[in-house]
Amino acid sequence: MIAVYYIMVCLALLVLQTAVVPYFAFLEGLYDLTACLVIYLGLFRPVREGAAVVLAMGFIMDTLSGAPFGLYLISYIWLFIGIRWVIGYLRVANTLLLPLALVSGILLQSGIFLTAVTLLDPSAAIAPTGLKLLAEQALWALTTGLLLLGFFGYTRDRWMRFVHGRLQRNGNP
Amino acid sequence: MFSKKAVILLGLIALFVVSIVALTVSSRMHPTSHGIGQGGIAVVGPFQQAFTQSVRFVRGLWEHYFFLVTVAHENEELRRELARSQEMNHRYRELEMANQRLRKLLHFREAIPRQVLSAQVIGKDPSPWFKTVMIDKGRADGVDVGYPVVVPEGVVGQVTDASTHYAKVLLIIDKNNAVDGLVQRTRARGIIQGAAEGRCTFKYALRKHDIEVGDTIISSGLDGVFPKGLRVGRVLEVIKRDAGIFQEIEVVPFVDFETLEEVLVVLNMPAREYGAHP
Repeated sequence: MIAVYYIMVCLALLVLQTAVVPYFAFLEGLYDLTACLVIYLGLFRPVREGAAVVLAMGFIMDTLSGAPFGLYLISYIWLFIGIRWVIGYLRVANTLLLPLALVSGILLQSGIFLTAVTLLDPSAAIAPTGLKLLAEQALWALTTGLLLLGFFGYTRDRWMRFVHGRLQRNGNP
Repeated sequence: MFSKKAVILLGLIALFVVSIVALTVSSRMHPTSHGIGQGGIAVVGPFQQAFTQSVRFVRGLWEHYFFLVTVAHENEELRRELARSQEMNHRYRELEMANQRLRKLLHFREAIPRQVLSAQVIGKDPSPWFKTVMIDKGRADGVDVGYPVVVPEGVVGQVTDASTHYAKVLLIIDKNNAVDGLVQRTRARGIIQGAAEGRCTFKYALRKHDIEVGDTIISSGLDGVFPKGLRVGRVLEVIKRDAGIFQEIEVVPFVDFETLEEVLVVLNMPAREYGAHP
């Protein structure tokens, strides 16, 4: 049942990112919203649950994007691993370290992309534009990322409560 | 002496006569005010006034209330009507603009001597690092990988992936895209490749060729993808360094990729000119 929730969330994020956000010019520097979901999964969900979603989402993003196939998948896997590694040492899920972890995660993912783009075409002078974009993304992540994380947590809890309620009404414990 | 009936009859007749006389007399008298009448008026008047005013107040309140309610309803209805009109006006304007765009597309379509398919842009690349768009036509409509995509303003890109009903188009502003091009004025050849900030570079143009700012770059047709003669962009900057055999040319595409809504996919590419595709 949790799979249904993640399918809905992923679809919503994808539509938001590819069909809604492009209409608003001021959101041009917005970070990858699905990366935020990866960070949420890394921080708050068990590895098995998170890994499955990360793999599926990376694959879908790769099919939608013009990026070399596998770039999204790789970036998400590294992001997920990075987050899991960090929470092994630090209590990130508190209010002080959470924004830091969020911004670091977004920058890590964008950094992977920037590196890949630079490696693909070393002659292309993308560094100034790329760095500006990274700064914009960090700012967006700092201002809106926590809300998105909160949204994932809240909607997931509501969904699970709804599903359990339905199961109990149908006589299944 | 008289019966009871006779007394009553006489009384009635007397009353009748008195009445006639009294009326006759009073009707002949001049109407002057007198004390009893004034006293009566003075006593009754305030009550009458109070009652009348109360009735008028209530009636006024009632009528105004209903009037206001009616006005409020009318106002609400008018507001709704205004909103409807504004919405319709907006829709008409939108339709008019779509009509103009589609007319332009149709004229352009007629100008291309090949079969073309119009498609709507339904999504953009999720990554800001790569430039692709999704269109609502796929293999079921005859779209396949490698097919060129154009608009009246110029070249858009080429199909890099296609599912049954949708296709992904790699835009010419993406670094992975390249179009064989010509400078329209001097016929100097080069490769147009995507660059940063929605621009392109015209690569491998020899230093000896005369290329100026403002020159138009068109597709040469030699890449086997894009038909010859389609507009690609305008030269923005020409840099000739001291060393090197090529010049560096920055090109601004004619197509505004931010506002791209409808595109044309060129379908029937002759094997002679486009040997790479069926």
